[in-house]
Amino acid sequence: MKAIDIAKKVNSGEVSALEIITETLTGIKEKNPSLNAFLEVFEEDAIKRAKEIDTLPQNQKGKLAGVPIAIKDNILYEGHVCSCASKMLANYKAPYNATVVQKLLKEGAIIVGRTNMDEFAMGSSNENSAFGPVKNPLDLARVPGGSSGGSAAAVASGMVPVALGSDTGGSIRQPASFCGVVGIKPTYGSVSRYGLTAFASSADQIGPITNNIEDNELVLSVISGEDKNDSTSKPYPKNKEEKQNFTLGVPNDFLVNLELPTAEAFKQSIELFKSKGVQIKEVALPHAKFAAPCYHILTASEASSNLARFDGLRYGYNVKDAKDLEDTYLKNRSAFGPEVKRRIILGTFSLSSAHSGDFYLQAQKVRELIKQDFQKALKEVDAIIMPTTPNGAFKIGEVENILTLYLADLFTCPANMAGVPAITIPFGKDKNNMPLGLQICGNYFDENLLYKIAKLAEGE
Amino acid sequence: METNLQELKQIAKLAKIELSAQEEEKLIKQIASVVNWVEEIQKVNTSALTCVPADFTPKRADSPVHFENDAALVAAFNDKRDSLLKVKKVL
Repeated sequence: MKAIDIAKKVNSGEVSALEIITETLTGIKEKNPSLNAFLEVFEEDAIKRAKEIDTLPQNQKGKLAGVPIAIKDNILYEGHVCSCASKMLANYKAPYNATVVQKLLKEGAIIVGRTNMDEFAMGSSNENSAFGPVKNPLDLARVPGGSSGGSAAAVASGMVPVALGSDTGGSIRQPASFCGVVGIKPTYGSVSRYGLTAFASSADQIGPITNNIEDNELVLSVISGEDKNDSTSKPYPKNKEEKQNFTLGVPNDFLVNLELPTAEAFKQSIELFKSKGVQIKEVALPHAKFAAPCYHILTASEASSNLARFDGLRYGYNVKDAKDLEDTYLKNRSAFGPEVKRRIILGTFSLSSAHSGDFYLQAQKVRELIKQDFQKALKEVDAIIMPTTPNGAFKIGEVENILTLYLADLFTCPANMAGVPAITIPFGKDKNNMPLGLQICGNYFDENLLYKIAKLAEGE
Repeated sequence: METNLQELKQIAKLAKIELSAQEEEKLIKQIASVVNWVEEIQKVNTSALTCVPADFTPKRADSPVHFENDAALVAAFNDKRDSLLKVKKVL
């Protein structure tokens, strides 16, 4: 059932929240063992909350009354473990609620569990989780994408109608595309990051993954908004013009060497938009091809600073036999997995005095040029379309070369570097009959326009 | 650009990451391949940009905020005496 229908029925009393949750928990018990999408299910807590919601007066239970929602394991839910799929935080309990969690709870949602992910949100396949990989519900031999792979798999398998993910370079859109569901990376600043474990603060953004656009829109409307606890958050501008006719941009200079199924699906999406009266115009994004290397320099640099806090003293993995404080740091931080260590090392390298000019500072400048490209292009068109990923989901263990894995985010990184919103919807299939995604990138705070445009292609 | 073993060891030390010889061997090749790839950005002419935008992150007021649930923070300490964090000797 759609989230929007659950909320209506629970509000009207046609269905109880307890019935919804009981059915959800049964589904999770049945499906999760083969998928490994949930690291923990908050069964008792969810039942208790459902009963509380059922005692509230009709039509006053909230916009998301009784809707079961899964949260990525890097979002804090007070009193519950938040491990970031890392040995480092395996037993860490959240001391407060993330702003997004507070907002969901206020509107009657029920947080049913925390979903698996690439450790500290670093990865594109979910193979970097310390607690085992997630399987793609459409083919258990394949990855669900990452880093929000558990959230995407939980939604695609029908275990929950909604899951929250976080997206720093494509971590909502790429797994949503691999699993054939809808995911949005909202405008940087539109959703509070308070209570989201920081990976790269200048790009991290929370967003919903759902089975359809309507539910996505509903959840984003609940979780977005300015928050005093996140100084980068901003309110949505009022009185945005409601457009009826759209012009979409195609950045041909960026979309070179597309593989055939991806190119074919993308061509079909252009034809579909044309058939619906949408104007198509070529736009230039000359620096977008540098977005993935820029992303890796900047996010690794920020991660090397953000993850410095994990020393295993105040919380987290702790080795008892260290000889002194320095040894304590080294031994405790051995809990990080290989990808996290790799990115901390790369970030420390990029920020070192010998290399910061060529790497970190140059990447900041290139990022600015990428941003300017988008601003210029979005003066000419309402939104820009492109494939979400170069290919569909690959097999678990199939890709060993780290650069190949890093390039899975080739088309998703530009939106993070520019800070603009981008949505993915399922569109087309690859040669293995796995879903492909169509990505629509818009101007700052133009999420409503993105939803409108996406609806034109939904279900095609 | 080549990263040598000595540089990798120095970077790992700065990052407080202990690497085994096996990890070092693997990482040196991986970091070198990533660095060679990201070096692409040095081809971009950025001379027209006078400075890196500083307005990306607005500054908040520099004033202390009391966190209500401090008991949960203390409860998470791995080693403590009363409500104080206990750590190994510094020197």
